Amino acid sequence: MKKLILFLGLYIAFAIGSHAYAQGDFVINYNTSIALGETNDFISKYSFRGFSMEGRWEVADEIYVGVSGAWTVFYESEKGTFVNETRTTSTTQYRYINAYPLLVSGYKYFTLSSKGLSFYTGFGIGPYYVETKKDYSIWTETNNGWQFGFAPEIGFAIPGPLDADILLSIKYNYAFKTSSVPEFSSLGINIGFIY
Amino acid sequence: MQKKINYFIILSGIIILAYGCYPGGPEYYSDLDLVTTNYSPEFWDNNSPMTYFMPDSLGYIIDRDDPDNNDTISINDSDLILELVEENMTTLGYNRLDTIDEFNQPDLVLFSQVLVVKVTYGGYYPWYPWWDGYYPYWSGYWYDYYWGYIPVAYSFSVGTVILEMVDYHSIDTVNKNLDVVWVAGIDGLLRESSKTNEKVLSDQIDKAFYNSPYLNIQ
Repeated sequence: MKKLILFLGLYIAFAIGSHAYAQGDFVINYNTSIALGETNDFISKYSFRGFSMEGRWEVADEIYVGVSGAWTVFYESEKGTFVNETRTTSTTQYRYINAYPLLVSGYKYFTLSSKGLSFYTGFGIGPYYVETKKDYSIWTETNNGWQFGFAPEIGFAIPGPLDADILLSIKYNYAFKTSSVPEFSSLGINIGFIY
Repeated sequence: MQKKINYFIILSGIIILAYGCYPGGPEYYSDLDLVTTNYSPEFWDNNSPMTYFMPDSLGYIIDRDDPDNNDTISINDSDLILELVEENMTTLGYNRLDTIDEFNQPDLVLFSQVLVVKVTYGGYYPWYPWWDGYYPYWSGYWYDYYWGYIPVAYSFSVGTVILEMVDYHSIDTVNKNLDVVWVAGIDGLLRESSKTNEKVLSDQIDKAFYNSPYLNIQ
């Protein structure tokens, strides 16, 4: 429930914030992604659970800046035997990653047609809050913390209904490891709209 | 304005849907099955035990300080558990001694116990029914000893079967210390004792020994 409240709060803040500011656009994406690198060692299953919200403002001709928040959940269960030093455990292990990138991004748009089709490329930086969790039987091992990361992105903006553009994008997320949290990386395919 | 309200409603629906799809984890009791073992490499690398003594009744891990924290589960499978443990030890090559005296000194003492503490905070101690009375084949009376645990905490649920092997030769009668050199926890195995079938019991106890190849002396 805390996650829902957090994201409804963020969502409302973005929605109000982006429209309160002159000429601001509001972006919402449905995010799917695959974990990469060390993150993939923890969970290799493709995630279909994620979304992001963004306020995006045009600061110069076809150049935008955005402030975004996202939530992606990776999940995998595995029945097996797990060895940790001298301890051996046979059980069903449930592994979760909840990743919350909070990014400030810059975008460059390239108009491809007079009907409004555009290609864009972007690059975001900012803090990531990443929580990894292992559940097995009644035990839980949680590891979480803030990390600094970046996220390059490419995509298309396609004119859609109700004065909105449909967004199709590919985004790479990478957050540097810290002393307490391993690196996080993922590649996402996103679909959403901007209005 | 109406358009924005429509978007707001659609987007709120997407968020609530996404939250509703949050993975839920275990759904059935069997999803919670867990067998964990731990051991002392120092002991098993430097010793070759051949014999063991095992009490012929199941012990209870209890909260001595707070009796209300002890559950009152009924256990119908205690004999079966002891048989399964003995079978596994025999398969691994160990010889069970029926008595302990100056002429019969086992290398190991194997305790089979069930956890009845409802809320576990830290270490709890075993109690055997016969510790309150006379036990004809038992020369030790170790209930007030400190059990030198290797790190498997008693953070299991009620009904967990816990097997512990103690190095008999290192029992410190002066400082009242027992060295546990192997421990197995089979989580919640007796949580519904009357419904636990023999196959589950057998599979889980076998797995505890299977996962401990260093015990094999053959």
